[in-house]
Amino acid sequence: MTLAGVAARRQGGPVIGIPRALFFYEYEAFLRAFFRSLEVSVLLSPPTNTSILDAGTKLCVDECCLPVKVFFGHVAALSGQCECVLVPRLVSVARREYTCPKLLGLPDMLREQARLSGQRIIDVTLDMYRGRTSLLRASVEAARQVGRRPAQALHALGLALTAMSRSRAQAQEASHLETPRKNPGPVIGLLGHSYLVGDSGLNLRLETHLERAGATQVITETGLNAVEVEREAATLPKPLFWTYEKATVGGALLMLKRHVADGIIQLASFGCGPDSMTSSIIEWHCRRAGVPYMLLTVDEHTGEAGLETRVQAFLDMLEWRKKEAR
Amino acid sequence: MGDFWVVLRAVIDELGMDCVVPPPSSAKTVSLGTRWAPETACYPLKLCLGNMLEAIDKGADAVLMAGGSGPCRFGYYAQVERQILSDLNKHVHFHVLEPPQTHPRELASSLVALLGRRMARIPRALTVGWEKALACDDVLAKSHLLRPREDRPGATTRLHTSAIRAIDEASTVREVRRAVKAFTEDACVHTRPQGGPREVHIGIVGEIFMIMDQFANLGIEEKLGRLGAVVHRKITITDWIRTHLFPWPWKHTGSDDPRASAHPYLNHFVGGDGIESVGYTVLGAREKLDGMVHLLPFTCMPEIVAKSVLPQVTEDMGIPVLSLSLDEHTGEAGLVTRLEAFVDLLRARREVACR
Repeated sequence: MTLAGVAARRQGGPVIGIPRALFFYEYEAFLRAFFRSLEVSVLLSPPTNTSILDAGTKLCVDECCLPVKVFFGHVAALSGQCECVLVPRLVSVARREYTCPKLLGLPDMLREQARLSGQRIIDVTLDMYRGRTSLLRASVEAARQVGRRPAQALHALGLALTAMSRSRAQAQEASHLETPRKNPGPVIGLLGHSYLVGDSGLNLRLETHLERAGATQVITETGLNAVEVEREAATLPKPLFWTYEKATVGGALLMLKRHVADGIIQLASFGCGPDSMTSSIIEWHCRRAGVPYMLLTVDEHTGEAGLETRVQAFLDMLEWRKKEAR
Repeated sequence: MGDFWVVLRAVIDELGMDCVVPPPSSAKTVSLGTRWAPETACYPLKLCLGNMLEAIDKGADAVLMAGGSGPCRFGYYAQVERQILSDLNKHVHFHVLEPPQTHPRELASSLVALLGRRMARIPRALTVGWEKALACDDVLAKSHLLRPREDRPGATTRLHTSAIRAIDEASTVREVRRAVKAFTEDACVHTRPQGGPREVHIGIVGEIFMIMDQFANLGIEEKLGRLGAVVHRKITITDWIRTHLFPWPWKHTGSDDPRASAHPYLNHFVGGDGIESVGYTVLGAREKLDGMVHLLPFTCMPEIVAKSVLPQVTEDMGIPVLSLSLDEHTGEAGLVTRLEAFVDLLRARREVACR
């Protein structure tokens, strides 16, 4: 057991393990506030590292995308440290939209692995396709599975929603505070799932490489106004029915409309179903707007050096374009 | 997609429009599709796109494509294909038919735009179409049963092809039924009445396009039949129409419901045919089939979920499952080797069980 595990145990009360992957990056503030209010200690798996990646690759079916494989690795990293692990089934987080099919089947895919390692899965279904009541039901169900009453769950839900909107507002504000440096290099729009962009173990320290290669500023979806992103996404002939990917495309369209980015990099995992669609849509719009676009695909075989070279080449190309334009 | 074109052509003809059937999928279709489609889109998109381009070359000026509401990617394919066609300067009318349950208004408006006054012909068109769909499935199911028992290699396939042609040419319900009857009589002449002791029974589950399109799956049903396996498959044209287009009157209930049977292995729908793959595997085990073949296009999201829970079904219910993920790079020889090995394994299991 790691130090974190011992510390979480010592506080007494139930401990819930949360894998630091997939939904965690989108809902970190929500989950922390929710379980704090329920007085349940949260034990996070360590940041993605090679052993987690290897474990995930071994445990998961070969054809899965890297983030799901890594999720398996994170659940394995939590085994022996806490009895229950949160693996929600996120069917839909917005009206008339879905998440990815693999998130729909996540608890079922993991059940056998968890059973073998003696973990209990906290499996709650969140399906907001027809409305928001499912959020209430899911919170009550999650609280019940860790031994808390419905009233406590509803109280916690209120706090958690506030915490989530506050953290989103903060993230958006923080991105505006960055002042341009003296030597202005290119501004890069970085698009992709939060669990790829936010996980430096998965994206092989992409942001560091961007900075080293001379990018002045990296704009991500979190730095954009969600309402405007939504509005841009609605301009497509048929709106996308995946929530996160809709935001990705909306973010790209907003960046192109505002002319804020000199180049757009999309980060996707190999075999990602929705991103095979979004990448072609974004590429099409970038080509029409005359903004350079690069698709970086990562899987467990991706080498950091190769990624670095591609990033450097892309930024060099942007620099040349800038010089020629002058 | 398999013999689906027969049904669609019948419906479109009855509605008073001309239908251009693209040439059968070929290497050219694949190369056209893979050239213009997004790189990691699944094989069905690439083949469909190739078919569309070939149909446009043959003179089609409108494309009819199904829509969807996710979470499977298929629901967005029409949009991507429309974009690609317009980039290629193929100026065609692109009609998307959205599913009736989630997008009734969109469906109605596109039907009105497409048909106008000819809406009144819909009932008759659907009647003929449905009869042809039933006939195609009937002929197919019989050919699966008869192929391992045929007297000469290829006899069943030849009869099947000519039966499909007869169904396609039939213009009334009675002619369709006559074509099916003729097929049944001919088939009885060319086959042995009883299966041999080495006959095994294999179920096919998976993504519907890959199952139905005999080009995409490299004729897997025929290959299995030649190896002496009777193929059982529940996912057919009529089943798809029943469960996806008009679920209300024909909903599966009770013990033959694949969605309920998938419990506890997969407790929620995952888009596409993911839950059906698991459910039909469980049902196959209950029906004492010898094994299952699970077909999926490479990177198919719902089927990957199914693929990762199927080993558990195998362990609990003792039914071997061969998952085959196919795309444009799949080699035929490799597939044949795997199928031979699988059929041999099933035979060996059977002999051990009989002892």
